[in-house]
Amino acid sequence: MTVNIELWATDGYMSTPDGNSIYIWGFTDTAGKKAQLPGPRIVVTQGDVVSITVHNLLPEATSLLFPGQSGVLADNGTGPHLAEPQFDGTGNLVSLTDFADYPGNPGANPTSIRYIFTAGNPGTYLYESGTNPHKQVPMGLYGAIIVRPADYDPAVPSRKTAYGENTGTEFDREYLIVVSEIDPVLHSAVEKGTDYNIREFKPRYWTMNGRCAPDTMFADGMGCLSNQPYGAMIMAEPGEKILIRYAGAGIENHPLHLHGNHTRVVAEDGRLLKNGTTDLSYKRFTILTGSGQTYDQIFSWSGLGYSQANPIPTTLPNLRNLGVGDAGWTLWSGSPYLGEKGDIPVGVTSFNEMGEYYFMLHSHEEMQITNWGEFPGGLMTMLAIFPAGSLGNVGTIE
Amino acid sequence: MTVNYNLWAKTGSISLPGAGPVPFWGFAPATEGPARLPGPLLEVPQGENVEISLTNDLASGISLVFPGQDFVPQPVKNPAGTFVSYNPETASGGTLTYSLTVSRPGIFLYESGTAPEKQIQMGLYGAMVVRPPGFDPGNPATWTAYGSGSGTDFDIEKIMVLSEVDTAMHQALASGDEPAGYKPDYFLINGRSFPDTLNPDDSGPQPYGAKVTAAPGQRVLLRIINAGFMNHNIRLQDIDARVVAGDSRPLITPVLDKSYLKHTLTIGSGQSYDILFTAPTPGKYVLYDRNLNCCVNGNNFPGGIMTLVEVP
Repeated sequence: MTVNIELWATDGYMSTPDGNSIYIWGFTDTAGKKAQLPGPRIVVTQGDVVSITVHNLLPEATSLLFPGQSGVLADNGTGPHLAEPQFDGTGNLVSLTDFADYPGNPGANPTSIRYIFTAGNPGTYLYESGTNPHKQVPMGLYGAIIVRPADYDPAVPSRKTAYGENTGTEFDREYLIVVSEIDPVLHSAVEKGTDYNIREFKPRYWTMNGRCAPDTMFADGMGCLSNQPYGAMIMAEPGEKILIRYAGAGIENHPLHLHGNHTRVVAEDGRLLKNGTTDLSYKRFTILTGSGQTYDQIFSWSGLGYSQANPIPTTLPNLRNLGVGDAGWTLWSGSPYLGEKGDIPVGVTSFNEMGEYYFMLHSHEEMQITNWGEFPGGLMTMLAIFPAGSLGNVGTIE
Repeated sequence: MTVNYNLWAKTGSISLPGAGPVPFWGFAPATEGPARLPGPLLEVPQGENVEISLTNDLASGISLVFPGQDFVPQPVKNPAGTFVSYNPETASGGTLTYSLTVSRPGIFLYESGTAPEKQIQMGLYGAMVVRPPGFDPGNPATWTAYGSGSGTDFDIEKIMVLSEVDTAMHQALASGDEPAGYKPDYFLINGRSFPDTLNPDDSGPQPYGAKVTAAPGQRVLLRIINAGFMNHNIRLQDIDARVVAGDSRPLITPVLDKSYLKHTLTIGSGQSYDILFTAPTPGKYVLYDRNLNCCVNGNNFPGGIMTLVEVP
């Protein structure tokens, strides 16, 4: 089937936990709304013809690239043609692909452009600007695409997969984490129209789904983060298969590290790590999420001896992995047993709701877990393991 | 058998878009004629003994090392016991021969092992391609990167040496001053920044072009090796490319295929990857560094590590 999507490239502001408000460029799927960070999630099914129209409201031309797709067509009013790098009359490259001009440009080309491609492979992908990308991508003109396998059926466990039946990619809950970074000097220079020296690029904030920790742990659609709609907290029950999709939208590479667990990377860049019957998937506890690349991982929390038949772990989790705070608060329940709450020292506040376990997921480049120098912040969230039967349908991407 | 090369290390000057002449140190294939960036491509059959006679026309001692090859450097200490070089130095004005046996096929760097934080940045590096048994330059049917059964048969081959230039550091070192730090402002494929990467090969100090032209259906082998200090994230837009070797270790054998598809590949400093793709429908396809701050010349986009795959 054909999926029609309309995006507006426009501006807006993002909030950071230290009270900063940062000017961004980004996409929205609702006319008249401000830009969101990252752009709207696009979820399609393998084989779909995806038609994405970009309406440009920015003060310069913009465009979209779809890394991992092939045969992308562009139509800026003259009919669909292969999207290609654009050169000016004297042969200078002006855009990595066909672009939408900006309103008010004298003698301008159309300010809307449509891209069309067939989603040929399941997986996790980025979409991002291909015009002045050194500026427009860090400013926020990026988002993620999830392509479901052709036989995807969330009602049938063997077909609720990332890459299709019999690919070993079944999952119960899934989470998408798009990572990037923010150099506020760039954003301020774009807002004020002043000069910016690329060699002085120095991020002060690092984002998961457009948010800096601890905002990463808020739910989707929080009113106080109106332009950053996606949370980045991972929640699951023991034994469930958890699919985590990492996408590197920033300039830097980010070594994302999950405490207490090793995940299995089953695909990179939307391509299953399997050649015929040869399984090329691999386990890591730190995944260097390269810029412009995606990594799909699946793992189960088996809880150091935990199983349905043995609800009390034979080996207790290491307290250091459980988010025991020392600043007057903790994520620790007070009890080593999943689903139990115990006593917390006087004066310490527990954010634990029902005896769940918390495992930190963060960038191992520790400078990236700060907000303008203040720890904790940045590229950090939690994996929370809740008692069986308590979670409902969280971890569902529609 | 023995293959002999003569290299001269010299000062020279490269041209980068938007910058004046930038001084560099490089290797020249002849006593007359300019030093090159990167150094001359050395192409040798597997199993040969390679002897490189290096003449040093620079003011300070230099040396050669061959990372990834069966070659054991002999670190040098000064009389006070301080480490000074990874391998014996060719003194200023002198000549010294370095030899190694190239025991396996692939794409490798040769580079200075003396004050490498300065000398490699200044340009003392180049690529060596080692051909597998049976490779005959005159017979396209024999063209493979790693021999028969390695899944690396190709019709078109392009070697891409990645690096960076900090022009302020070059000016400082050429004047005998200490550099203030490392902050590159130019990013190179085969010694050139985009759009110069698109120009054909020539006989100047930056002789190697980086544009790929292939007919639809032709098998294109890109051999990308990172001589720079930074990691680079190389993206081939809209083309499905298969990684067939890393650090010249082939990923395909007759019993196991560990090759994999990538559209963007992190190539760490000093690392190499061989990637293979089939030229798609006619069009222009951009190859660039997804570390987008390396797609500039100075402060201007486009530039840097960027080139085109053109399918006419």
